[in-house]
Amino acid sequence: MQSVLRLAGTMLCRSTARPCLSAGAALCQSAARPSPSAGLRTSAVALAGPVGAEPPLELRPLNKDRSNPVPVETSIAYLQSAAYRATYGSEPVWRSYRRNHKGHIPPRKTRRTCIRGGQLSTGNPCPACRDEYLVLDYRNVALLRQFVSESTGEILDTSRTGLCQVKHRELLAAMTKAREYGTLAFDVPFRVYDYNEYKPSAA
Amino acid sequence: MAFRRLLSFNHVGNNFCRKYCQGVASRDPSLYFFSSRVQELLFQLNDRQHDLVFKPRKLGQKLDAPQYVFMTDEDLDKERRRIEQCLREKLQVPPVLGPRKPIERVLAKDPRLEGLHDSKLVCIDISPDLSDRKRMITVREPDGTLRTANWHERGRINQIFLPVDGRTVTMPKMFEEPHLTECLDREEYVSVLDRACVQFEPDDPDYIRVTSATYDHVDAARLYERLQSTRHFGALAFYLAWHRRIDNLLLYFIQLEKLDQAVKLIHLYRLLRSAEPISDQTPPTRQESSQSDGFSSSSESGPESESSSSDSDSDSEGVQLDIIRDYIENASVKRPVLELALQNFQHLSAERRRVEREQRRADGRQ
Repeated sequence: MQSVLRLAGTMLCRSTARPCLSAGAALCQSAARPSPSAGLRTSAVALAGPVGAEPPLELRPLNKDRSNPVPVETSIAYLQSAAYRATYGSEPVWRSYRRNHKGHIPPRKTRRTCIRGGQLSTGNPCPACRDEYLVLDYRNVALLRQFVSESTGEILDTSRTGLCQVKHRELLAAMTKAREYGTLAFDVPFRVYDYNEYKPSAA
Repeated sequence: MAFRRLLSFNHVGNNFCRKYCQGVASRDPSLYFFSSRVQELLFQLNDRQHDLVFKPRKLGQKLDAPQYVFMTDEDLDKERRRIEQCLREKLQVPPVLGPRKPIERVLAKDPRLEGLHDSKLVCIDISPDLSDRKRMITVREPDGTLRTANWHERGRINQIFLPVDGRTVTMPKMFEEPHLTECLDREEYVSVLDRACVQFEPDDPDYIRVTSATYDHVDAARLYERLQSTRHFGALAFYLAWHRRIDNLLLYFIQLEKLDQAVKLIHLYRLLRSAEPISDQTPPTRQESSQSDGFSSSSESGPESESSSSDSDSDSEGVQLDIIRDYIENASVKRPVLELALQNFQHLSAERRRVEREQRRADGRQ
């Protein structure tokens, strides 16, 4: 717990500068979808909020280092924090992401990985790689739920989420473990019993 | 706590679960469960709200758009009857059985085969028309013994060769401690019970352990409405009545002013306490028939209660109150709490009748 509290100060800083589109929208209290031309960084003044409010969220420079994985407890706390809310709002983390590709139709598979040699090695990393505080773990139910379809209960494909293949496989592994340990509730088929198989035989 | 951890080892669990074998003479609940009278009571105790019973399950299937159909009155009646039939199927209570007895037996001993193989060989009859509980599964040990498979082996081999959707070969860790307790603390009762129904056979000691833990948790937290309108409410009511712990559920019904449900629960409790197993051939005793009159008249007066006078209403209510009071005085454990709840109900209903009478008088004057 102590380490989480110490990190609380740093967690108030936004973890990456780029997904600032929804942050800016949230803070400017606009209900419209953020424009792609909103720019890479939102000004610190806009993030500051009214005078006398809670300490403002700070902008940190982009961190490309992924050699030290964040513990899952930190990630779980991050998903409840003001920094997460400012960055993503109430939408899933993959909602504001757009893949870059040649032409009208995207390639069938997303890239294999965004992280090479322990560093971000692409210009537009996928939603799970760009934010180092999003850890795909069976205990991080708030994050896992964002990758499950509301209406059919199936795991969303990379064509919708934009995750790189390595992170998608991590997601599938986390989902399998979540179902094994029961952290994520899911529906099972309805079992019909034939009572004749279970009735005690007439003595 | 150590005892509970021991229960989680599958291959050890032959007869460790005491839950359905309490008492001097261990009674078999399956002798009572399949009786049509008990089944009807379990069905009636359920709320049966159509929205909840027919809530769609998210199984990764493609969703269809809703269909709008023009129907005649006859078509509508036919559809209503079909829905009633579907309701019965959806609310089928999972069978309640005692823990199963070991079935391992040696068929042949061939010491000359020793050293031929270094692992066991399993033989299974995969004919599709056989029941999984009855199909032949045998094991040849490395020392040459040919024996029938034990229950644990049977479960695994059946799942490998004839898989059931939603079931895993090995028991999921969510049914072991501490994960089971964590799931129950998150109040995910229905998902635990649904998965237990798919994963285990009803006489598996692990199934009995998981369902008993869930029902105990629901009873302790008084969260009966989580299981209402599901198939598990009947099983919960049977469990509580079998273990003579219906007081909390009775209090819940009285506080919700569902006296007919309270009377049905007491009737179920009395049926399960009878020394002889109920068969459908034995006619109901006089006491049972008077109780059934008590709640059948109430169920008849249900739809007409608004139009009928308050006198007939209070008569059937009086019969119900007598039955409940009789249980509270003779058989209940939480007597003061139940008496207080009953008193509150009587005050409330007397107030309601007084207000109705004054309303009618005022309307009559106008």
